[in-house]
Amino acid sequence: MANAKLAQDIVQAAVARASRELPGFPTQTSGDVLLFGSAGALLDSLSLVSFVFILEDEFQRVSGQTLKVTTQDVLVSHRPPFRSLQTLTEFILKKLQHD
Amino acid sequence: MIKVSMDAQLVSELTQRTPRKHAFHLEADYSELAVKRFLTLVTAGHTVIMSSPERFADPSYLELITQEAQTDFILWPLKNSLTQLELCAQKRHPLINDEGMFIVRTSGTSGKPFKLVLHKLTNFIEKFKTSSPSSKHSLLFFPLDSIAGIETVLECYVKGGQLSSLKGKPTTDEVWQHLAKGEIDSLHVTPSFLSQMMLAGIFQNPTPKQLKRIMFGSEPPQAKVLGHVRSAWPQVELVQGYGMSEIGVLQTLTSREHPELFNLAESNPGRIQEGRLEVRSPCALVGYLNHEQALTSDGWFKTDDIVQEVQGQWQVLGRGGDLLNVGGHKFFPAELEEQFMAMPAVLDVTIRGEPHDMIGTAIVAQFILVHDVTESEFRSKLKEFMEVHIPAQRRPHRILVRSSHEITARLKKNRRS
Repeated sequence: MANAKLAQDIVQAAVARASRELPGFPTQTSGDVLLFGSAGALLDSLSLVSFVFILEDEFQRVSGQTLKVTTQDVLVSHRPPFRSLQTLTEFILKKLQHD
Repeated sequence: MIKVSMDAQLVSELTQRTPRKHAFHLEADYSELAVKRFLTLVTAGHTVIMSSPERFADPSYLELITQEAQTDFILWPLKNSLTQLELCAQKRHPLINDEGMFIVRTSGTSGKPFKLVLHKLTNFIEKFKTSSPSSKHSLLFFPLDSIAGIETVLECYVKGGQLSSLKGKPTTDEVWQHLAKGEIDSLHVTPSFLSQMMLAGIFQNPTPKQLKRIMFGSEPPQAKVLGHVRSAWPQVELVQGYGMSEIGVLQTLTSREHPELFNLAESNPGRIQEGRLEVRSPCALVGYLNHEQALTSDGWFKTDDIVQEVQGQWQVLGRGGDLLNVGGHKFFPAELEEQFMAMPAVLDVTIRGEPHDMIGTAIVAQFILVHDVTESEFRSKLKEFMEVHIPAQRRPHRILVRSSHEITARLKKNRRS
């Protein structure tokens, strides 16, 4: 339960920072927005890399642990983690539980 | 101030101890002792390579130099005298002869960790005999294991100028202390060090008495930094010194309005072939000791520097190997740095590529900000700036904000991750 809250906090922090810093990322988002890989998604293949750096930074800042996102995480998963905020939160939760 | 001359006692000892010419590997700092040993040995027909005390203390590095040069060097630490050295016959690379030569280590790009560049002393002596005096009193800014450091010493030796020396790796405070004494008329630095001087507020001081020119070179300069220097110290001439380990420092004609632009003097002409600069130099290398040879059959050296022509003058964009390739979109770090330098909040920026699992190369930007801007304010402004001015393929993936940049032992921006 504590990890679920932590995962939500990390994703919210990453999205908030992307809103402030990432070119093209909307300044406000709400609900389970589409992040990557479908029409209307907020990230393309270039801005995804920037978002991953932000996510890794916020993961460390909020949890004190290190996260390294790889191509395998993004492409080989049957449920792509960057598809939406919901899938990303699930992915982060898995990483927290794994560690 | 150091005395740039041969050591008469050392000349005498060398003559007595050995009729043969040897290859020496000297431990060399910024001291008069190191300068005198170098001059005495090369003018007596020996071959010299110099390494900083840090490198010289590493036995594996000394062994690597021996292997790569295919030469058995006599190792000469600063603390030892000639009498403590064993001068025996040794293996030498076939390109080395008894004319007085020196070797400069440079970084390589194709497999080997570095290249060893062999030079003939007389080429440099002749160059400085015929060139017009550039300074009466200069500062030994570059280390002696670099071509720029060696040129500073040799020019002073040939022309009889004066040379001040630093205690170690240059700091902005120490360089300013030398300038403030009002003796130095010519300062030769890297563009990265000019940036550091700007960050340290050095140019807020009045123009140092006697300082006539600042020569900068060995990496692409940033127009904003040069503009800052020019407006702060307008009496000082800014000269772009184009040079490389293989060709020495070439004579240039630098644009007064735009010091980032230059032409090469007739004594060392250049031409652009497929966008890359090729030059002829009176001080071209004899050859590499550990690499295939570099000159074309008619004597041109391929610099691998990508150059663009601007109003009949040249601007170096960067080394071919520095080119960043993001999804097939190619550009130089210096081009992107120049764009970011247009932001008022940016004092300096370094762009580098970093291997990345997902994209091949990720672009990392490291910024230094003006004092009255917070990091969070800047990051928001940067987002707006990039959305308007920077194409998506050039936008840095990682933004770092630091209080200072890391610079290399050769005093250039560190573009390696």
